[in-house]
Amino acid sequence: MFQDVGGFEPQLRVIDVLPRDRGEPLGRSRLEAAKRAFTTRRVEFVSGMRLLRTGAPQAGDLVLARIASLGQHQRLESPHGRRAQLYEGDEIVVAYGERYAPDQFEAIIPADLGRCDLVAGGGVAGKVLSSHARMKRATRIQPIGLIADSFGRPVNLAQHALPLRVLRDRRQQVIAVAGTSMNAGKTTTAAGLIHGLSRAGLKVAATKVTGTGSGGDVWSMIDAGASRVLDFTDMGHASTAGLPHERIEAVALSLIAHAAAEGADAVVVEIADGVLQRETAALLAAPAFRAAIDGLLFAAGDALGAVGGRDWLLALGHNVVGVSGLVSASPLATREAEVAMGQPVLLLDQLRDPVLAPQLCFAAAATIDEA
Amino acid sequence: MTALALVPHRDALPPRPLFLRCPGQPEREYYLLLPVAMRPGAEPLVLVHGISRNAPELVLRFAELANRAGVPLIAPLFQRESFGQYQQVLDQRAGQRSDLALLDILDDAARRFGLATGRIALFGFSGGAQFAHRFALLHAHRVRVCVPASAGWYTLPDPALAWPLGLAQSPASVHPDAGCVPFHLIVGQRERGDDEALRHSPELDALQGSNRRARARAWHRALRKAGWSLESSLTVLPRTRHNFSCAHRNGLVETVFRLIGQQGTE
Repeated sequence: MFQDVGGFEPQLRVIDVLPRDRGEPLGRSRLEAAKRAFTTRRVEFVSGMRLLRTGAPQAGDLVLARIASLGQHQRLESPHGRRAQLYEGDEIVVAYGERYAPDQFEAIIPADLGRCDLVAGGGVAGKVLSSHARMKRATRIQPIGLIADSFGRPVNLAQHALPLRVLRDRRQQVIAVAGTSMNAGKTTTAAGLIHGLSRAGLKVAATKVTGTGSGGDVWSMIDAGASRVLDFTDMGHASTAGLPHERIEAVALSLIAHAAAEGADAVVVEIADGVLQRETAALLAAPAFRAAIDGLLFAAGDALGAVGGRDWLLALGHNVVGVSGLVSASPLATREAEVAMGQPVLLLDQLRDPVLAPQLCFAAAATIDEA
Repeated sequence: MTALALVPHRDALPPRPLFLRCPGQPEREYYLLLPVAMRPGAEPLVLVHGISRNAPELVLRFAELANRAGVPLIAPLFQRESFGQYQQVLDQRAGQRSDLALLDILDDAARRFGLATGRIALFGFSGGAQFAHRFALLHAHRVRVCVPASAGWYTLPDPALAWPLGLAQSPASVHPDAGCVPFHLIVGQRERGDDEALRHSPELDALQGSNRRARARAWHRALRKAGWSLESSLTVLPRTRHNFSCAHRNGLVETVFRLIGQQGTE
């Protein structure tokens, strides 16, 4: 019952005639000798893997590359968090991804396997478009080839990801942490809250739902006392920059659902970058995401950011349970922010306090359920 | 014949606790958990924290059975600044009465959430157990049953000893029905040693013993000797040291629900 037999046959020909480039054998010992990045930690290398010398890389594809020249990133974070020193000529295993980091690099995925850049220490390969004035030139890498399975199919982080999961009834309180910008103190704020809640005897799970693959935030949350930490790399993304909003929302909700499924009492959710960054803004405005969290803790870099960010989030309908972040490191900035906001700025010691942290967490829904 | 698929039974997920302050009385703070299926006029179970102020942990660990039994939970939070010695009912330094704070909290929960707080089941752990039994002595008409777990020491039913060791010079008069309240004591099997939170004095050690288990037995004996409620009991939790998580692992919550007459199976 084919409507267009002529349109079908060329497809058959493509399948049958074009030989698959299965690439060349890639010894397991070579892979194991290469310095492997944090972003690739879910992938298990097996015997019989192949190396594709040609092809157009896709986000999440694993690449075996050689360090051509050292620049900004002179160390590569391993799957276990060790920051391995890099040397020119080293072979590394990283994943392709975009980067959006106003304090570091803006990068895209290159069109081919030509020379490109190491754009994040967690192991992201990309092509730098712009960089912050304080950045050195990016470390240059020469891709040797895409890592492929025994059938010659490129190995992609998505093949090793956790499944998408629907967030159904949950008994955990979910608190998100967002900030004015990169380096506004979001991870410190999230870790402070995690520590306070765990000191209160609560089992806390944590997740970082957007950003660029790096273990720093994950280790920080684990050190703070989280019983389990997941990030977007667990969902198959070296970076969430450039992903369509629908995918980011699905990743974020799935990560919350996975974290909540571990029997935790509370889930702390960190959202990368500033609230005005395109993907972050869209996520915070999404009704499904707003419904998935009970409150939001805002990390501000300065007093003006504290006021503007808090008001922006309130206008979106978020329940802002507190303002903290880098602004709290300066007594003067704290004072400015408190006067302008008419509410106290939370200090790190307060977030870590086992009596105050649960109050922040569970005050979130107080007005909702009151009879 | 129609075949029915076997679907595993799953209880409704317990709701989440709320942190609340009494309007106009910001130092009156509490956690509240309302079960999904709450019976009208359901008697609340009040949970009183120890000196670590772990009120939310108590509510979360009791939540599942409370939800199943339709029992609302109220856990007052006695902050260190206002209620440093809340265990003794009267904080001498701040001059605050923690018993009055709990009465305000019960009134607030009744007004805002329609809870029947006229009579409560009262549980306390460690410092919270000290508070719980002392509250029951002063407000016996409000307490149907009291379960003090792992208290460091007790107020003896002795009018010759000064409060908080005995009943003389109490912050409020001891309620005439104090002897009618069933006190179900719980203590861990391994609470026979010393711990840093345990108070010692020659008088206290001589009257009640030198560890929590000895003191629980001494108080239980003293209640019986004084002819107070014959329903009172003493339960020793097996393999349990002085730690709430350890007690929880060893069946504390189930034991409490059994002792207050709520099996958590409704």
